[in-house]
Amino acid sequence: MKKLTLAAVVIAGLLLAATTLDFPKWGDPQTPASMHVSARFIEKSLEEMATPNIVTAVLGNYRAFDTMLETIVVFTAGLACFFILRTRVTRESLDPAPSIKIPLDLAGEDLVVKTVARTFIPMIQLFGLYVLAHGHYSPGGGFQGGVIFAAAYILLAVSHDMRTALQHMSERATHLLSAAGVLLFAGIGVICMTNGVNFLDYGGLAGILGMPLATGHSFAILLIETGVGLTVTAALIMIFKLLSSHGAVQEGF
Amino acid sequence: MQLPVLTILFPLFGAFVTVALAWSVRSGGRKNVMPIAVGALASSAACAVVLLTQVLTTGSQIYLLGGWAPPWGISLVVDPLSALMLVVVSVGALLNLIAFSFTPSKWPLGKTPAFLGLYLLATAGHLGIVATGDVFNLFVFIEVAALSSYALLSMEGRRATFASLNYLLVGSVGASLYLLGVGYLYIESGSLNMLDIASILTALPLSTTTLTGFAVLMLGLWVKMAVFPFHAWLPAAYASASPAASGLLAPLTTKVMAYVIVRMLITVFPQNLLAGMSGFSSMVVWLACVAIIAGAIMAIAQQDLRRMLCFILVAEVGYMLGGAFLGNSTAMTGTILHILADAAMTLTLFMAVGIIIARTGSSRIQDMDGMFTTMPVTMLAFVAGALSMIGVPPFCGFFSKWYLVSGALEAGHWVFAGSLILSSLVNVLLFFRIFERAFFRKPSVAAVQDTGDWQQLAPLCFIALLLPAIGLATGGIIQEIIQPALKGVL
Repeated sequence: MKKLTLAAVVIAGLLLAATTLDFPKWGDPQTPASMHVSARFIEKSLEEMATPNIVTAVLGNYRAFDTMLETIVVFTAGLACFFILRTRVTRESLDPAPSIKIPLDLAGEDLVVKTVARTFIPMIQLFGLYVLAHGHYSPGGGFQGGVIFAAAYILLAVSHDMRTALQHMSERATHLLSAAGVLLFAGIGVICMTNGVNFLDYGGLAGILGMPLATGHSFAILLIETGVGLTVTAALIMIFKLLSSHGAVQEGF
Repeated sequence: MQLPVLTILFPLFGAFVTVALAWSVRSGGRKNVMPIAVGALASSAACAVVLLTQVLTTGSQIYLLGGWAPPWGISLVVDPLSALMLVVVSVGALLNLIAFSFTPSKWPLGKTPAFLGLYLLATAGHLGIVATGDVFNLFVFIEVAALSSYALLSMEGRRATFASLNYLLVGSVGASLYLLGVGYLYIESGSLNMLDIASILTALPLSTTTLTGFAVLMLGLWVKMAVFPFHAWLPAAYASASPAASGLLAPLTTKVMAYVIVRMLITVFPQNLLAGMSGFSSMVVWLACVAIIAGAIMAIAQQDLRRMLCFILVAEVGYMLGGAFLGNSTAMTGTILHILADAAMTLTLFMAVGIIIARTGSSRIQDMDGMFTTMPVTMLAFVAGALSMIGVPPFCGFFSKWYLVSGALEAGHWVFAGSLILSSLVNVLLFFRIFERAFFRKPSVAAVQDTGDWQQLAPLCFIALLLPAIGLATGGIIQEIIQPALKGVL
């Protein structure tokens, strides 16, 4: 059976590889993929939304609905992990820092590791914020910034212990932040609707705030990227806590 | 005006608010989450119904998200067919949630809001798949729907978790194949908008890239739709899940995927594509015949009521797939009718079985003895669903099968018509075996009356009464919804 599966995979792979012969040349500017929709994105995006990074312009504005749903996928992933993995939900564990005394040799009492981590965490966080906010001009944005921000928290948790980590961010906070991020993103869309335009048409927000159209679009992209960043940070932290503590989200595992 | 997007936004916001509320208030907030979830789904269903009446009177609506015109932006396209599907999905999800909302849950308190959030996200995902007019946006909605489905199906003991993990692996492969197909289409056309792709591809000669894209995309959808031999995840996942989860997903997922296949065939791909691949479509119809027969045979072997229904579902998937690829408008009409009919009757049967499980704790066929005396209302609804599944007029299952068989005869495909009739006969055998036990034998399990709990029974009765109503409205549905959708194609 295993050999049969392997044969099927190899044959399917060869067939797919054979179809690539029909593809246009790599990097050819005369292909439909380069000519049809890209032209407008390249020529108009700076003028329409004051955002030099075309990738951000497409993801944050032209196809913002897809990005919103991808953020919802991350939100769903966090919620699904909680739903499946969380073992006990008691009143005590909803509050941070359950008072369990941990033996010293388990608590990670390493001065060098702790000091280095404490020095680096603020810098990593600052870098995360930079990546989030600078997505308009360079590679970056909410997803990347959120991941870096969550990495700083995970560094805190592994260099210290779960109790310290929970003191800085409780389980309640991760759930609330995760929901707040998607609410911010979708909420921007609804605020636009109240001005009589379609969902996620940032022109509506520009009208409400009295900004020039392109500036309003640019500002709205920053807001939705912040929403993405919040959800990604919170969901990753949530998944990390659940996995690293066997679903208990507290000390002792 | 804003109705297409509102239909999807209500369940999405319902999910966010449910989660936020559950964690923001220390104790009281969690009691309010159920009304919020029911309210979100009811608003969504109301939007869908109003949208359907609007579309039927004033014509299709195209909603530009962000105000960007296609092909640059994403648009939702609501024509009579997708409006009908929106009503099916939102009303089905609402009825199922009401029926199971008041059964005491085994989970710790904190998990009920998470369940509701995932339930709403799954509903929103299925609604989006139906409404969108963009092939990549459809993939993202598939992700939302699938990810929440895996979680919903996993929470009912070890077996369910294992089955759901299996579904996750298989389902991810299916979704990846779909995405690969979208990639091939993008290389060929440079566009992601369905109508735009259609107009570009029609103007081009058929290339290997288009054909490969079509084949890979269809393969991915078959995996997600549980076409034999990619069906193994379905009985495992749906038969071991909690009644509320299987009652939502068993009627919706396979039918929504069948809708996507129909949409791809009638809207996205050029009409000369299938005509030029007659070998491919005849192979698919043969595959459908095998699926129908295999589903029917495996259903006979089952000792568990829910597992038996799952294998009948595998056969039903074969009906819809075969009808879509027979290549004439009668069979396509039958497929679309069957998507509607199968959603309604699967919902009836799974809700009835779910209520039986909630009451007696068992769904084994041998525990069905004397069910008519202990749970008369549930069993009457079950009989309605079963008769529709068999294809007895005036239930809706009869009319869709009639069109499918006529379409098969029109195409001269006797084997497909024969396997369809054979599987209906097997259904007679399967269901009358249960009726016999439930009607004539003495109750074996401790008698649990079902009367009095109308919160649970009212949605079940509603959907059971809808079965003959849909059947009698078949003429209207074909004239107002299916014929406009098939105009100019086939």
